[in-house]
Amino acid sequence: MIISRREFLRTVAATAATASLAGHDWLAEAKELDPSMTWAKAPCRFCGVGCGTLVGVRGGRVEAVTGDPASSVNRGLLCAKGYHLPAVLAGADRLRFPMLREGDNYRRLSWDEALDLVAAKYKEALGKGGPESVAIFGSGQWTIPEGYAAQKWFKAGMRSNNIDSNARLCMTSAVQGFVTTFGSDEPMGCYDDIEHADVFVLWGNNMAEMHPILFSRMLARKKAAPGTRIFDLTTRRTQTSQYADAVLLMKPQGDLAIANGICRWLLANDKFDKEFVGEHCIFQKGKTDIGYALEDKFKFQDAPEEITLDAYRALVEPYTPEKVQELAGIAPEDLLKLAEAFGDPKAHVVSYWCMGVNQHTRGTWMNNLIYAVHLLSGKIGVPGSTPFSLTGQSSACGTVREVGTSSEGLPADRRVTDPEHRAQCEKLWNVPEGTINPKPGTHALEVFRGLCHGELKVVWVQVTNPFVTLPNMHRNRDGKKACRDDSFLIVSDIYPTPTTALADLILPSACWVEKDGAFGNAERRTQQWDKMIDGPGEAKSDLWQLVEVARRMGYGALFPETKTLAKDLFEDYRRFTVGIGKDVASWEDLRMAPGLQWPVVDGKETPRRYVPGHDPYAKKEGRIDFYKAKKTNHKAVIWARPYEPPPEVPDKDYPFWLSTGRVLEHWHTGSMTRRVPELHRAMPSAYCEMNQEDADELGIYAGDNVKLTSRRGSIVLRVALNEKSVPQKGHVFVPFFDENLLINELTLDAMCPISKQPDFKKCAVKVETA
Amino acid sequence: MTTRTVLATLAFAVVAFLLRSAYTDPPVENPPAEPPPAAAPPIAPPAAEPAPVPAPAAEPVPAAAPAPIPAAAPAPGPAVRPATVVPLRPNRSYDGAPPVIPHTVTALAAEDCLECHGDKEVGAPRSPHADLQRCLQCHLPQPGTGQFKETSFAPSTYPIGLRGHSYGPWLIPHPLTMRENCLPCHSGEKTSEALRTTHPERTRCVQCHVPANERWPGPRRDVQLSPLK
Repeated sequence: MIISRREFLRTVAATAATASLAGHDWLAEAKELDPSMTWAKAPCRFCGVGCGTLVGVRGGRVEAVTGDPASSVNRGLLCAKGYHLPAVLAGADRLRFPMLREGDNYRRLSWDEALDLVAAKYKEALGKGGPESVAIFGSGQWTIPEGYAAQKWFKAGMRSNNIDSNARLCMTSAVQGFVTTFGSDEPMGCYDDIEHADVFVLWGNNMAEMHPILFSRMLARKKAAPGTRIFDLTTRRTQTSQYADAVLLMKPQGDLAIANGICRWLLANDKFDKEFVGEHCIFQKGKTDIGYALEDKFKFQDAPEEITLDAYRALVEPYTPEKVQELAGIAPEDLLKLAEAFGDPKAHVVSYWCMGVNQHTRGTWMNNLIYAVHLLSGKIGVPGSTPFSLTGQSSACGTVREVGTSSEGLPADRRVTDPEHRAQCEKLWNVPEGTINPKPGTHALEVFRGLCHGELKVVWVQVTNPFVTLPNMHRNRDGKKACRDDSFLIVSDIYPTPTTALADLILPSACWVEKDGAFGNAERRTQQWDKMIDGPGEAKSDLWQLVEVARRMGYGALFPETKTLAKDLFEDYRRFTVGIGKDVASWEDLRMAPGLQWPVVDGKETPRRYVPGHDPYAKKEGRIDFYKAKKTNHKAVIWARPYEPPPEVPDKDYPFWLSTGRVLEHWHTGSMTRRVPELHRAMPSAYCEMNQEDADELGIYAGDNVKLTSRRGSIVLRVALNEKSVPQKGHVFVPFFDENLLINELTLDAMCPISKQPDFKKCAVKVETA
Repeated sequence: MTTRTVLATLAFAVVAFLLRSAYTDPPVENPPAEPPPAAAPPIAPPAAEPAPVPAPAAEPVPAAAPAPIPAAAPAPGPAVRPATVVPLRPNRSYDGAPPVIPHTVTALAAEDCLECHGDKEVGAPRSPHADLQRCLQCHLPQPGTGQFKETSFAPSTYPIGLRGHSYGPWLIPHPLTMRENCLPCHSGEKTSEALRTTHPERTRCVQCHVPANERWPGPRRDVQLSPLK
């Protein structure tokens, strides 16, 4: 792609100038940066919002970080985690050398010894047990080149599809929702829709803590346009609820009923967008009563069936406001207010959701249902109206979803099960026909169950900390403790964690600006950065580690020698995206921009996908062109998905609902942010949020310790009453960041049968004084 | 924030302010052990090393109580102002990081914080960006103590106390990000004398006081960005 410098500059300027947060002249600010430091841009290391930062380096260390005023995402503002990025790299216990476990001790290895050992272990396992006996478990925080290298090594090299990532725990329901509805993954809208919206609907999403910068933009919109409303659908009163105009406190799993109730109301009151639905949508139903994937080797295949509008109408008819009240616990007048917002032809409505919807035993269905609400009401594809699936991790979109580093994925919306997709990839990778294995590999939980059962002989974990984040930890971790000699676990990380504690070989990684990289955020924005400093000791990028092992195993043809490894692999990957509506910008273009939203065609990014006039792939006529939905003739699918109960509900023995989640101050398992004094002191340890009435009944005071017990495990935690959030009566909430207080020893590993994503938000526990 | 809490905080702020002159050094006792008690005792700034000379109060530290801020340096001459040449890093990870909150927080909304940190001078540092509404997104209370693991992070600080020549106006030593509004930190009775402007009536500060540093980062140096409207 050739793009003139003048044109490029114009694009960048237009992007930056799109809108401003009220009252701030963000651009004026970037000019006063300390000249004794070297400054360069990088996306924030943490969440899927993808804020732009400017990083100040002095004496080989990152000493300051400021929000990038030129980034259209955050316009100069960061959250507490982003501002504390410098100290994240500087923990005194950074891993510095490869270390091999010998009994209960570790022996320092040279990189040559370590890489030869990894290559030998993989080779040995391949020889004995074939491609099914090896695996890699990566991350939505892998850079794009890292995920791509792992993908190429596994699928084009070792012919193994056993590559999966922690995104299985956070985003696969969203992926399945997109693919089954629109035929292609990732949102059509953009963050700039915030400044055009009249109504925000948050589906089980505490944005104030998890997506703080977007929440700030929402509040700024509310201030600038006073009639703007926020609906907060939630199972507990959060910091987000404090700012909402309507808080709809619902029962767990009640979201299925609420969405169906809105669809029914739109149809029953003739408030749906007939023209839009007629031209751009079809109706489908699938299997029902689909189980919870708790069994080992669970299999499921949906059976989509097209239905008429009348048949669809009959399927949603049972969800009257009274029925929704029974299933979801929200008052009929509240449902009415929400439905009317969607039924108002003048209102612009943005829906946001993240883990509340995705970590759900009906996660794919819930994604389908939110799209159904937006498609029926026509609230899609115009500035200010869009369903927007938020992501948790910095590159869950850019790496896992776009590069396809999952057990069934291939780059750019391709699947190993599709012969045409396999052929395309084999050609681009220049490997013989039939190289790619057509059978999907093991997904995240099967990887760890397989490691516990001894079916998987070698597993490499990179950029993630599964022995804090997996649900039902005893089932998915303890087997590895027991059969340590039978399998070989390699862990690449930057700090010691509960996962490195179980590793047979620990490899020290470089982090963030200690390497070249690129992330892709939730609004299809690819953001690149250059290496700014060296990692501590002998720490090396995960990319270099992967490529060196692949070369030592004889896959050098897939990874030619180069001095610009990250750039070359990114450009190699980019070939898969060009011409099919997923066109990522070139590495050099990305170096010059705060970030560009794909599809990038002729140097222009695409803020709104599928919309003629915005997206060069969309046909000129009509309101929208779902051009990736080839199977359904460019029409999006409105799915009939019923309410089904959760697998484990509170009963006499375990009378409380347990929900888990993140906090503003810590990034996921806290292995980085807990090493920052300011963040640690702000949030020193996990706690158990309870309702005051429950505490009174049990005679518990704030600060007391309680023992939480589920059918799977038990921990003791400090009780928090009326602190950050307030659960409903009969509910408790515990964050998962604390490696000393592992709430995942209690959670249930029930999954969405379609996406295989576990539900961390619902299980039954009892509460006792401790 | 309940009226009672507001009153308690105000009362505490006043007492702390009166006590301030008794301190010659920042109090060094540790913050309260968690869970935090209802009252908010003064806590030490989390900076690893104590400032060699009293830290100026003009940093936008959102404290209800100015406890960590000791008395201003005694009678600085107008041309020298020694207090401005000490590192500005109390209560922050590094210059440019948002200051942490040195008191207990029981309310979440910006209006609650602005009761003390808004336009009106009540003794607490005033926010230079009061239009932003979610204070706790960047400014963190510190109920915990100690460290999870040791850190080796110890940044150096911005060069400050700069002027072009001995009669020139002071240069602005810090980025203006989140500090576009000068007066909350540089005017008012309660502001450290070292940083208090002698001419608050002239509202176009940057007409004379220019940023000490001007530089675009890395590869985008040439990018011309149109101003936001």
